Order: sequence, then structure tokens, then C-alpha cells
Amino acid sequence: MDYQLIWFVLLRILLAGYAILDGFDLGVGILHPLARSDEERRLVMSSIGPIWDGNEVWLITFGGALFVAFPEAYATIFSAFYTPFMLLLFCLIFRAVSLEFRSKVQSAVWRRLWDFAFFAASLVASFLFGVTVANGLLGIPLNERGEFIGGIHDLLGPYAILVGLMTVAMLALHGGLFLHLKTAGSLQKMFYRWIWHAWGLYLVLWNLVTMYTLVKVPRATLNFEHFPWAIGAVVLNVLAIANIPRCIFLRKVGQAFLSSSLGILCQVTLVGVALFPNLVSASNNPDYSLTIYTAASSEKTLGIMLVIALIGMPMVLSYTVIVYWTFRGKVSESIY
Amino acid sequence: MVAIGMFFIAATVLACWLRVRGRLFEKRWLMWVFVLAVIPAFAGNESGWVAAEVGRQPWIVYPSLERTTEGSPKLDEAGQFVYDESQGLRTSDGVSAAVSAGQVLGSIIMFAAIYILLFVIWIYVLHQKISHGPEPVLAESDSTQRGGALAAASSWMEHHDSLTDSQE
Repeated sequence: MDYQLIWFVLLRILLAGYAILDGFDLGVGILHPLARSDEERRLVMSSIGPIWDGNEVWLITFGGALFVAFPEAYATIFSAFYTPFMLLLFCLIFRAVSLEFRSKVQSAVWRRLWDFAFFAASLVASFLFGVTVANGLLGIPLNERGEFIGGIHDLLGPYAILVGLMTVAMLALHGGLFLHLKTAGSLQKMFYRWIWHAWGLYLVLWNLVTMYTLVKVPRATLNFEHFPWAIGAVVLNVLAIANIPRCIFLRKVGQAFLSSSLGILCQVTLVGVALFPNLVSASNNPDYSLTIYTAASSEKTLGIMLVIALIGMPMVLSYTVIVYWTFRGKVSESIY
Repeated sequence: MVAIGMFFIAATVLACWLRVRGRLFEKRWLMWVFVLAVIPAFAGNESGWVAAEVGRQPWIVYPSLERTTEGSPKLDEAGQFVYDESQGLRTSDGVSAAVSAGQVLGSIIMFAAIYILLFVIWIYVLHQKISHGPEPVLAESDSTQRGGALAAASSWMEHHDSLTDSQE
């Protein structure tokens, strides 16, 4: 295993960690307006209050690691997706701010405005993440220097929109399961109903995306020849999605949440397998694609980075465990 | 930037001296200087940033200077530093080809709008907090009953308010 491959795998782990962890708090944002009273909305926000910003660290680490390990890919991706990423930043800023400012003033109008900002930012951010992944899988037009030569209209095709919608449904389900674990009483009953709706919607969209991918995106399964174990990820993904309704029915919601996390992990893995060895696929000419070998930093940089990652990761894991342990159980105090 | 820094040092030394003599809180004019000092603090911060960004043009990454055997930079006949152009990156070569000027302008407008909006909201919330004044501090609850390293670590951070809330 060379450094480039190790960093490709590490980046996938960071992305999967982000999708699973920030995934549920984005989902909480999408479901937030379902809570009707002020007290219930405060509880919903408080359920993710102490952990959402820690979850977003995974995205920052992913961006930073991509910048240092594969600077050419970073340059191409961040330039190609300039406008969608600016929109994403806009959403992430207002999500953070709405959590902080909502409780600061006792006024119904003030709180309704921040409620809307929290919901809309979570919804649009989830959609944009899906759009980005879909475009990564389809590839984008590049020139021989690896520069993006398309326009914003190239990024919003039917496939990208479909994957974006599926991501919203997937994260709404993921967030709904988390909220069911964190709440009690009538609020929990309400989310129980909505978990079923979210799962149904996710199932429909997941099937559409899978069919579309198999028909229109041949490279999605091309690498299965080299990596036969990837079939296992497909089977696990199907089993995980099928296990969710069984668990919800039996009220084993913790297990359903783990299944949902496993499903997300499988999907991130499958996108990684489909892309390999590319970081950015050129849709116009495969020779222009940026691979983990052509886009990588020097061996020395990758080696130093690996040492830093090995020191940093236990720290991140331990503070994550401490925070989740501290705030375990039902949320009872509304701090937001 | 430098003048602002020197001014802060002078103001702090003066305040320390007055504090030692026990007359600091009688000097209302100095209290006002410290209230208004928030503005030059930000101005110094921002102008330092501008100085760094403008000062390194036309380079994004400086090329390393050629040096004599004693280690001091070599100078040519005109008294300029000698360097290998290919070792550095010029701003004009580093600029992204795929991002249009319109996109950059759009993002600058977006960030300006966000910061102006958040500044106004921040001033509003801050004004409310200060007019409301602090609440009496409640006694700390006893959180030393659970054992284990994990419980000890979590009891450290078992404050239920964010930093901005703690002064409520």
C-alpha cells in the first residue's frame, strides 16, 4: 500500500464519518419545523446542540487533508464547484448562527425567522452535498491542465438533482431516528410517524437513483472487476436499508440508527470504489482525469501528513467519545 | 497598525500605573478611552492583514533568495535581491482559470452582506444583554458522584451553557 492509496482511503473515511455524523444533525434541521411549540423546537435544537459543531470538524478535516494530500484535485474541485460551495458556506454559516441566536431574544417573530433559517440551511446544504457527489460520479469537463471548462448548468443535470433529493430523504430519515432516540412522549410519537414517511420517500428515491446509476453511469460498477469485495458493500447497503423498517416496527430504534449509518458508510464506500483511482473524473476525455498519482503531493508531504493524522485521530476520537458520553440519553433541558 | 499597537501599550502602562496608585477607577476619561479602543483594535487587526496581503505582491509563494556562503542574501548591481523565478508562484499564475470575475464578485457581495447583517444582529443582541444586566450566579450542582475517567472528563465540561450564555 503506497501513501497515495492510504490517503485516498483516509479521505473516504473522513467523508463517511462526516456523512454519518453531520448527516443526522442536518436531518434534525430538515425535520425541525415538524415540532410545533416553542418548547418542542428548543428540545429539537438542544438534541444536537453540544455535538453538531464537532461533527462539522470532519468536513473541515476532509477539505484540509484534500488540500495537502492532493492539491491539484483540491484546486480543480473548489474552482469547478465555486458557486455551489459558496452557497454551501452560506447555508452552513446560517445554520450555525440560527442555533446560537434563536434563544437570545424573547420574540415570536425573531424565533420563527431563525427556525426558518435553520430548516432552509439544513435542507439546501443536504441537497448540495448530494449534487456534488453525483457530479463527482458523472465526471466534469476538464482541459489538459485539469482545469474545469464547464459552466454552472453542467452541475445541475437531472441525475444531480435526483441524488440531491435522495440525500435529503436519507438524512431526514437518519435525523428522524436520532430525534426518536433523544426525545420522549408526544414529540417522540410524532417523529415515529415521520420516520416511516422519510423511510418510504428514501426507498423510492434510492431505487430511482440506483436504476439511473446502473443505466446511465457505466463507470459506477466498472471497478467491481478489480474489487470483487465491493459487491459485499452493495449487499450490506440493501440489507441495512431493509433492516430499518424491521427495527422501527420492533421499536429497536438504536439498531435502526446503526443500520442507517451503515447504509451511508456503504454508499460512500461504493462511490469511492467507482471513482478509484480518480479523484476527479474528466467527462470529456478520460486522459485528463486527476488520479491519486497525478494529483498527489510529494511522498515526503504525504508521509509527514500521515504522522500528523496518526497523532490527531486518537485525540478526535477521544473527545468525540467524551462529548457523546456526556450528553447521552434523552434531551431534557432546552438550551436553545 | 504600529501606531495603534504603541498606543495600546502606552494606555495599558498608564492604566497599570494608576491601578497601583489606586486611582484608576477615578479617571473617567481613561475608561472612555478603553471603551472606544475596541475600534482601533479591529482597525489594527485588519490593516495588518492588508499589509501582509498587499506587501507580498506580486507573489503568492515567495521564491527563495540566493544567498552568499556567509548566508546573507545576494544583491545584483541595481541592489535588488537575486532569486530563481521558477521557485516561486506569481499571483497572476496562481489565479483560478475556471472561476470568472463575476463569481468572485458575487461571493464578495455575499460575504459582505452576511457580515453586515450579522454585525447588526450582534449589536442588537449585545445591546439587549447589556441593558438587561447580569443575573445572580446559582450554586454549582454536585457532579462528583460518578466514578471513572470518562465520567471525570465529562464532569469537567458539564456546563449547560455556551460561552455566550454564561454571563446571562
